[in-house]
Amino acid sequence: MPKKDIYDALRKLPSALTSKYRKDDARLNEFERNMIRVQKEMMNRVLGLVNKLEIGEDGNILSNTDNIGTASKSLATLRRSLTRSGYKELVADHVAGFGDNVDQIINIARAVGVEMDVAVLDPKELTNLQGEYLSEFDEIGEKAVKELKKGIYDATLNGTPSGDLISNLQKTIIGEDKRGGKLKNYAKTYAQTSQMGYDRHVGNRMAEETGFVDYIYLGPDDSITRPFCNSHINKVFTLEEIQSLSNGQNLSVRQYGGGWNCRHFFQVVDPETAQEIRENGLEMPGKDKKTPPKPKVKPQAKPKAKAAPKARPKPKASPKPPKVPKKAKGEDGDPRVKDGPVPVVNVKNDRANKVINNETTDDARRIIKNLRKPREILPPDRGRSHYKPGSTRIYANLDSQETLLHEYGHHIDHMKAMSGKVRSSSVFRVAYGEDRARFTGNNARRIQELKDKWYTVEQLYRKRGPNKGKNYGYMSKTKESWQSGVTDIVDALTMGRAYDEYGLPGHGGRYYKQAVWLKDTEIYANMFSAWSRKDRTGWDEIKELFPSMSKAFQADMDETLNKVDWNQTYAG
Amino acid sequence: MQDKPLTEILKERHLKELKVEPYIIGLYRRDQERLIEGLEKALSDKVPYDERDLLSREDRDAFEKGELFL
Repeated sequence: MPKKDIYDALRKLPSALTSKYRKDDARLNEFERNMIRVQKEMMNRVLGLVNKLEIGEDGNILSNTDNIGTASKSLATLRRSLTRSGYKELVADHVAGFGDNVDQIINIARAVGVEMDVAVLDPKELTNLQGEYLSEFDEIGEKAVKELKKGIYDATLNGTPSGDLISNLQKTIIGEDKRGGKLKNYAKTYAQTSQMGYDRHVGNRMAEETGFVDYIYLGPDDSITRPFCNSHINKVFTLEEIQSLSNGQNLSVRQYGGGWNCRHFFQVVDPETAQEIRENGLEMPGKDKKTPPKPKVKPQAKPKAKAAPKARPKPKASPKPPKVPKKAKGEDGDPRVKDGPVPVVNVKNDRANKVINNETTDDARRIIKNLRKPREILPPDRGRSHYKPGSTRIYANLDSQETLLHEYGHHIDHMKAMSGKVRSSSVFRVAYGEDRARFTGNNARRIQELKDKWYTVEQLYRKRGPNKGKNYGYMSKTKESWQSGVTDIVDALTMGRAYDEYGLPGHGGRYYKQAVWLKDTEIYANMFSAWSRKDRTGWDEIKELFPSMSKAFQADMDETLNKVDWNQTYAG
Repeated sequence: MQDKPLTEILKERHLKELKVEPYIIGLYRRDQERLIEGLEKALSDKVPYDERDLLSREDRDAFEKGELFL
């Protein structure tokens, strides 16, 4: 670009930066205001919990069985209280708004003469990144409720005066001074760090596509700026130099700048601009300056041709501090390499690991390995297996491969969603109608045919009571356990008619009326359960019965296998 | 031997005796015996069977938003 343009563009940099700072500040202030509301609501709810404890005449909490029982079960109540205080909604709204900064990032780049292309951003990657930030917010909330639970439990065991307990809980939630409680402060710190992390990630991704390797370190220069940022601000560094910098916090400088709460970032510049700034410096408005000074960049008489892009650096963005040491590719099988070594999966549950590692295909394990794992895999909740996308927890009967893999299918569907809760609605958009026609209208007879073909009868005998051992009827069930997954697909296709009218295993119409995407996610989960297993009987039957949807599902699995970076950001 | 599976017989009785169909959302679709127990209890207590009532408040909220996958 002609040097004159660079000079003019740089004059716009202060206002472009100020625009972003103002927006960031406004968002953060709003977040803090809402967190104050959350912490007040949380305190009210916690007081309600404390009021359930029996207090002795001396004002101390009674250390009796009822109180200890209440205290020991208080974690679940506290978690619910946090949710109902609005914490989850607040952090979800905050994270959802990260994308609003992309325009500002592009404007700042433009102000240093670089055009960045938003089209290079991968929406799925960004959605995953936001999901990771949300998980971290969940952990902050979880840490706070565990601390509260410990306080309540200890106070109950020790017969602490109730006033002391309330005071201690108040210190955790509301805090003792204007700074507020720990929950609010940790959340606020993370709100800022994650916003900047997202911005840097987006900026870095777009910068990589320009082919330039010089970056200027930009951001506020005020009384709270760290020495690290102070000494680097408005200076130019090559990518190699950035990678050798240390902020003393064991966090990547490129991704985290000066570390926690840092408001600075590296902005890519073209080689000419980089050279000018190296030679002449770039003075930006400081805290004491009332008007932005003219950047000290000399205009150049002769226009220069745009430098040919240099070899692009390998993308190496990391949204948050890695929690585990990096693994070398292929250490236990790199899931991102199709046909490479088969990964050994660890989903933090020994029985589930056994099923997944012994009973599923290599490709299924690659996919499981390649996507973020569920937060927990737990036994069925009072006999009920289910998956909740909000918590990414699987509850499943681990004696049943079909059930575990069905619930895991829901998790994969959720993990791949670009927006909303599931991806399956877009996977089956066209195929659903084609296969539905195979079981509705005149073809509804096929439902009865399946029933006649697959059903068997099992007598029922009383297991307890005065009639123990007595036959009291029979139930119909499928001959093979995988068949109930297939009939559940038919039930989803018919919006519950297969169960309600024909008695085939399924969810029934009342479940599917709850939300339009439920039919899709149930089909997806049942297909994953069959597709993922080494025993191909179920999947072969599915291909026969649902040719369009099974093709769509296979294409979706192929895409997951071939796309290396569904979760690249988090992979080692 | 009865001519229908027990679940069907109980569902018909439920409608006849309690005037409403049992509210089934597939909670026990993999465990019919639990479903049968629930239907028998509903008939004996004369309280309609509703699987939504078996969910925790949090799960019920999720279910109503279509965010509980069974």
